[in-house]
Amino acid sequence: MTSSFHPPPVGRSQPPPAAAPRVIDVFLRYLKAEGVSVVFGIPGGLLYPFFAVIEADPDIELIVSKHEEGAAFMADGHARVSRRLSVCAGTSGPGATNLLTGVACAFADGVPMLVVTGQVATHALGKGAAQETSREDMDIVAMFRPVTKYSAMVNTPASVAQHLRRALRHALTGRPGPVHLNIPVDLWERPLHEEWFDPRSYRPETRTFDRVAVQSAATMLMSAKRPILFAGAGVGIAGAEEHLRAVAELLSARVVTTPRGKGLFPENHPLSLGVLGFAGHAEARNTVLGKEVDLVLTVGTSLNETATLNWAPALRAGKQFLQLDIDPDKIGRNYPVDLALVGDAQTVLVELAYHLHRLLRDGQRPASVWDPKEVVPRTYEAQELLTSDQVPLTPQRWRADLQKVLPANAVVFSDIGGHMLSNIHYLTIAEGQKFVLNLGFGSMGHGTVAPIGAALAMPGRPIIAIIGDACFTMNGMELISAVEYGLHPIIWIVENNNMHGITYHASLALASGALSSVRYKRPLQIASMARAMGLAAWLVEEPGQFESAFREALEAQGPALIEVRVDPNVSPPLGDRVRSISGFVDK
Amino acid sequence: MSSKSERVVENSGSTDYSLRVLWPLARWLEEHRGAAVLDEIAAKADLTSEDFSARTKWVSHVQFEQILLAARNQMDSDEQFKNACCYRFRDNYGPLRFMIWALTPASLFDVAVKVSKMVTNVGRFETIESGNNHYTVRYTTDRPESRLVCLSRVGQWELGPTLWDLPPAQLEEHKCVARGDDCCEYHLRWFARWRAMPLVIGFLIGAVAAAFIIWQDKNWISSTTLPILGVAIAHMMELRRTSRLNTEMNTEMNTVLRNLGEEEAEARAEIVALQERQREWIGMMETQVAERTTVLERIVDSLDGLQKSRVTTLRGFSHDLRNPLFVLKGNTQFLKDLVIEGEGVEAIRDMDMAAEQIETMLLQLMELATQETSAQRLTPKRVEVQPLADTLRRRLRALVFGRDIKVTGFCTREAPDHIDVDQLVFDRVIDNLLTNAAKYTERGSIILELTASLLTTGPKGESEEYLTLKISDTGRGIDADQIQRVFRPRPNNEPSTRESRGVGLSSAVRLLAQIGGRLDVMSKPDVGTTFWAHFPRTAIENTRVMAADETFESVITRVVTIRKAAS
Repeated sequence: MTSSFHPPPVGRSQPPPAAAPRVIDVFLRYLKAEGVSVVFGIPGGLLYPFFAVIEADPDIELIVSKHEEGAAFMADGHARVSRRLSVCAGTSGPGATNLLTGVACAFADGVPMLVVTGQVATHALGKGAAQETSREDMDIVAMFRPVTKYSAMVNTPASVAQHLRRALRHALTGRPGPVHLNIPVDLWERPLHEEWFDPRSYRPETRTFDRVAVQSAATMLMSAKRPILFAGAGVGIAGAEEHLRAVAELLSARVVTTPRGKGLFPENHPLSLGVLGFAGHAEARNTVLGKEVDLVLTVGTSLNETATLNWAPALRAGKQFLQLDIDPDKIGRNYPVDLALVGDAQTVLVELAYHLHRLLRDGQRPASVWDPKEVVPRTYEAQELLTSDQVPLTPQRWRADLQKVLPANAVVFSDIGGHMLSNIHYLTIAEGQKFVLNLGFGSMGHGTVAPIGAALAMPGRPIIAIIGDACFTMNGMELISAVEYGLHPIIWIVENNNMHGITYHASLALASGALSSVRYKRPLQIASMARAMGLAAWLVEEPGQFESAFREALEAQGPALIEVRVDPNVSPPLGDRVRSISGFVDK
Repeated sequence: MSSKSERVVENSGSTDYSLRVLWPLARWLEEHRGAAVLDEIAAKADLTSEDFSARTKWVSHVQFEQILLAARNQMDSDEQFKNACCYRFRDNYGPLRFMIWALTPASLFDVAVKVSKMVTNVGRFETIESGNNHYTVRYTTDRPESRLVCLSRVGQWELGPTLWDLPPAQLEEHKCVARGDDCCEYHLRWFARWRAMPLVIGFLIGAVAAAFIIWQDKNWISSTTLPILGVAIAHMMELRRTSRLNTEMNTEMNTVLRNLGEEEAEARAEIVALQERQREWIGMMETQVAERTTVLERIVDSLDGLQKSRVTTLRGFSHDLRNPLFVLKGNTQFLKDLVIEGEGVEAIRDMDMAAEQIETMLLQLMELATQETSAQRLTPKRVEVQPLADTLRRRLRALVFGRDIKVTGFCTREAPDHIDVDQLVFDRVIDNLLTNAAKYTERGSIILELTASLLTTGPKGESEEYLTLKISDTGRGIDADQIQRVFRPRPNNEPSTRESRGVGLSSAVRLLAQIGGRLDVMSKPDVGTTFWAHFPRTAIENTRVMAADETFESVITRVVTIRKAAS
């Protein structure tokens, strides 16, 4: 609970005469110029003037969450699907610190976000005011610094616009990310005469790339007999899905994705091999780590542990290794590269496509021996459970049922936990669908709340959140917000195994005995709770129930929830993860 | 209080009495005299037997009296009639009886007085006096009620205490409207158990026993212990009795609630079934609407196809008819050289003139066909750009199907989300460009990109954002002369030349100009061609076309010769 101790400042609810622009007016003008139409947060006294003006502004909708962490998650979800800057705000003190986890998620995954926090009045700084978080006390700016690209406190009205422009430049240039501004409460309504800067004038379009390197890459790719494109989440951040596909089809190259990049290349495409890494697919693992592949081009992946099966040496051995990333620091960090392509994934892939086009025009043909029409059949762990009629349900069975009824344009969010592994492994994200997973920071609750922001960004598009019971208990109260704002179609599918499944099963596999404390003492009635919160809810316990429940949930005129009770003894596809943790992967 | 002379004799409304008070009487008649009797009685009062069940119906005073009189004729005595009027008295209260259990008979009578409007609109009850075991109530009415009405009422009052398993109340009738009094007045008295009675009895029994013991043994201790013991035993017995009563009532209540629950479940199931049927109906309706829509769309498509076919045929004929015309003209010229005198010369001159006329008409016809679209009124429509790349890629793939051509298509982040453009013009321009790329490319690749461009539009260098469709192919290319012919602007009064070629491309140029866009091209024979079609983001007025483009110099700047592939 972070309600402010401060009452709203007396006499500030009425705006001053329109003739004198205030700090808040300039601030909002910049936000609108950047396409901001929604602000997420919980109003409090030390940020009251900001929220009061937002609430009254017809162009910006204020979405009040139930907890500031939820506001940050919602803003994150909004930015991920809209690919625009999002804004969240919290008052000083706990309101600001509650935002931290959500902001860290955005930072880890490169999500552009402006975080606004409140502060006591400038004359009271350092005097020990209630909820003060100034530099003299608990320094909120310093707290945000490690999880943002820019964190600053604004001290004077004259410097507001400068700080804001700098923050927006950081948020939207290069690898996007969150930025933080801490603004004392007495500044918002001060007059401010500021020269207007158009976004184009303060935010450079950095679409630079090394043409020679791209030409070399095109030549190498054309000569490769078994080229692999390894796509990470950077492809999604750059909006380069189509361009990746264009290059793959020009070359007849097989494509694998990281767990976080799942779905960025249609998994039903003949050239797709699925996911490599955490809960990935055998076809991807065997092909990419095999000896036949002669070239790997990574696109927008930092090649971290979850994507590389604990940095498997076979990924690099005996291959030409090309790495494309916007961050030079990521190049060659974990694997030495033969050719570095530094730049925005979309820009470089477009250029690469044109170079390949020119080579084709000159009569060259790709050397790839992959058959672009030959579909590699996918095998799954515990494949027989996909069609199992056992009761309680298996996690595999209901996902197979979901696959049949998943809308062609669905945006699927996954939270963190055992269900996430099943989502990565068993779901097929087809062309037109989208998969969102916060694995960079790995915060539980993100996949529960971020879909609300996504639903606001894409009204009418089906938003499906697959979460675990533990995620629901952590952040489930935010579903009330979805009801309040009448969002639909949005469906939460809660896989209920009455425990922290990933921890339990991992402990079972790694240690001598299972960690029984993570099992719930009392069974959760999630559908009942959801109904009490105002959602339409269904309970699925047996095979054959899921599809009809899902169809009805899609038709619901408000948020819906489906509780799926599954067999807690069925382990998620933990194999790679367990081997990775155990250090069994051959180096 | 109204006197009898003031009473309305025959001014009965149809909402004087609730028929619900006669339901017990109706049930008695059904069970003891048969349903036919009830039907007959109801019919006499212009009612049906269904009016005595299911829902509350109100009747006039006359109807009420008719029913009572007819029912009385079925009875042997007034006493029987009175009992029939409160037939199954306890059952009629249903689950309400369990709530009434918390009251006392006097408070029940109070409630009855207060809710009397639920059974009659022409009479009024008032409480005269009430106590723990007695109650006096007065009833006044402006209707000339008969004794039967009175009897139908008093039975209910008498049986009130039986809801607590007490004997019926004794009713003394002080006044009666039917007997000429100005009101009916009843005094009720019932047995009210004195709560301390069992304790007193226990005490007395104990005291008597104690007295006997003292008399026998002079044991004075028993003088206190035995009365107390008697009180305690009496109290326990009373508790046991009360507990048994509560148990019985609980059992009964549970039965009733279970029955209610079952009925509710049945009702819910019925509602669900109805909703299911409703959903099925809606689904059926939607299917039918979708089918009709599909049929209509097919009709519209076929009409559109016919229209296009008409235009295409017109254009094709006007173009193709020139070939035989050239033959005619050539032969005419040939004959002109051979025949130099006589009637043949005039005939040949006539033939030559006729051929010239036919040629002029064909050119006009072709002009009409190619400019057909310009006569249409522009109707801007919002076109979403993001899904367009995929659509165009698919279309292009279909066009080059079976050939060794790699087709690539994507949209860059700079591309606008949507544009407002005339859909017909937009489609025709894109169709032309896609068809050209597909037609003239044998192998290699075609790359298609949707992006944004800033183009200078104003005299002072103002720039506007356009959606740019870039199509680059590795086809046979277009030579410079042909490009210039495609782009050459033609004044309205200038007829088409005989050398007109690339009707599709020149049409695309004019269509784009019409909506304020432009077409740029870069090409080299046997290397490839790249087109840039620029569409304005927002629809503009027909008059605000890019007039500056309609000069030869501006066209020349838009034609770029492709660089050598090796560079």
